[in-house]
Amino acid sequence: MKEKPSLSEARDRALRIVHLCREVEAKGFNPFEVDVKEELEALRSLLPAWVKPSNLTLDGEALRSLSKVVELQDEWVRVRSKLRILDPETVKARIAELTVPQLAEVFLKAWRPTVKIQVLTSERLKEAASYWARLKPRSLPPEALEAPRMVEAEVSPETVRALGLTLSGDFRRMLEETFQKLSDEAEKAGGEISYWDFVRAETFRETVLKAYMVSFLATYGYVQLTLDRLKGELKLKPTPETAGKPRGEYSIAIPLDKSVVGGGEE
Amino acid sequence: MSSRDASYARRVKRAAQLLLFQRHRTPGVKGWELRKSLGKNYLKIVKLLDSELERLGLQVKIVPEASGETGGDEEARLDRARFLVTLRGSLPATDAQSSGWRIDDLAALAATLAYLASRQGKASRSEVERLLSSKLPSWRVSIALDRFVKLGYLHEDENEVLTVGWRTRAEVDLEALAESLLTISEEPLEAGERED
Repeated sequence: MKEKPSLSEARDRALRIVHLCREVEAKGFNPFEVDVKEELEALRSLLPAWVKPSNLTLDGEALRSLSKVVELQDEWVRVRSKLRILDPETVKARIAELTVPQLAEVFLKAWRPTVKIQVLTSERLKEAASYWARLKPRSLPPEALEAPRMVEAEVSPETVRALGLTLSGDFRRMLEETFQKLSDEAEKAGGEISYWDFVRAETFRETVLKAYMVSFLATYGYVQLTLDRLKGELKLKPTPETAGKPRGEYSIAIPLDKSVVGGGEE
Repeated sequence: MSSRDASYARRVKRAAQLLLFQRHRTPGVKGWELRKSLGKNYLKIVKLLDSELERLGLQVKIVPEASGETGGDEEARLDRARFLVTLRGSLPATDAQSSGWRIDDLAALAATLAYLASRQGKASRSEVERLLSSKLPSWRVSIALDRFVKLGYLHEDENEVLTVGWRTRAEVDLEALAESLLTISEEPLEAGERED
């Protein structure tokens, strides 16, 4: 014969059952993960422990939670059986029978669209103000195009090294670090990030260095640089699947204007 | 109001801002972002927000990172899951017209999702294209499928196999879709559509 469980043991067990059922109900887990038969037997074995009528409230609560799970199991089976009768041939036949508006109605009956609010952030307002300030009045006559001045100069390896730009193993490491950082930030932002958000750094020198790294990553297929023509926004999207495959379709020149990009004196 | 109630009210407001204001290109926020902002018991706050939203016909939806994700560490699963707000019921047809969707795109998405559901969630793109071409011009089919993939309603892998995307799991009640597909012609036609 089994020993009579103590009141505290019985309370713990009943509370565990209530908690398990609530978790399944709240989080939409598979209700068959709860072994209802076993839990009912456990509740039955706890009955001798409930001495006062008030103790029975917990027993009742556990029983109610289990009945809710049974209801969820019924719903689960109903849903799955409904989807099971939807075989490919039936679907093809129904699609052939229905008109385009009827099919659209089928979707609308099952669609619970996402609700979101688009807001204008202060950062975006600053970008817009900066863009507006740079726009030249349309009343002004167009400026004569000046041929770009080509400057050729030799830079000593020491100067290049002082800028942190060397074509040694360090360069590869820096490229890898930049790519890793870009991938992390893009993932957080939902797949792609603004070019300027990524490249802009505390000092102008760091900004130039990041822009230089990004240009390498874009050229060698590690990232895709796209221009949203409506918003005039440059976007970076990591493309590890094409890494190491140079893109040769086109090139984009992005001027780094210190007065716009900002940064310290360095 | 006690300080505890005030704290809950403040966090429910914060949760509403996090879930409703679009911060990333993809709507909603990840569980870890909510935990970071609302604290360890963020699920309780989300539940409170859900009951507030119910009065407005909205709901908080928790979408696991991968379909049918079960087992493993539950906390980690919720961290990776996407939380977003959706309508609680279906959208009236008149509102759908002003939502920017073309009627043939809605029809194509219904047909694609029903077909995927009947094929245990996956089918090759060419099969789906053939199916849709019976209703729509081929050039529109390809554009529509690309759009559904871009919006997250479908996922396409490197072998051109289509599966149900995260957004379908968030927004589409596949059971209702199946039921509606099977029963729609049984419903009485509108007076204007009635045949003589």
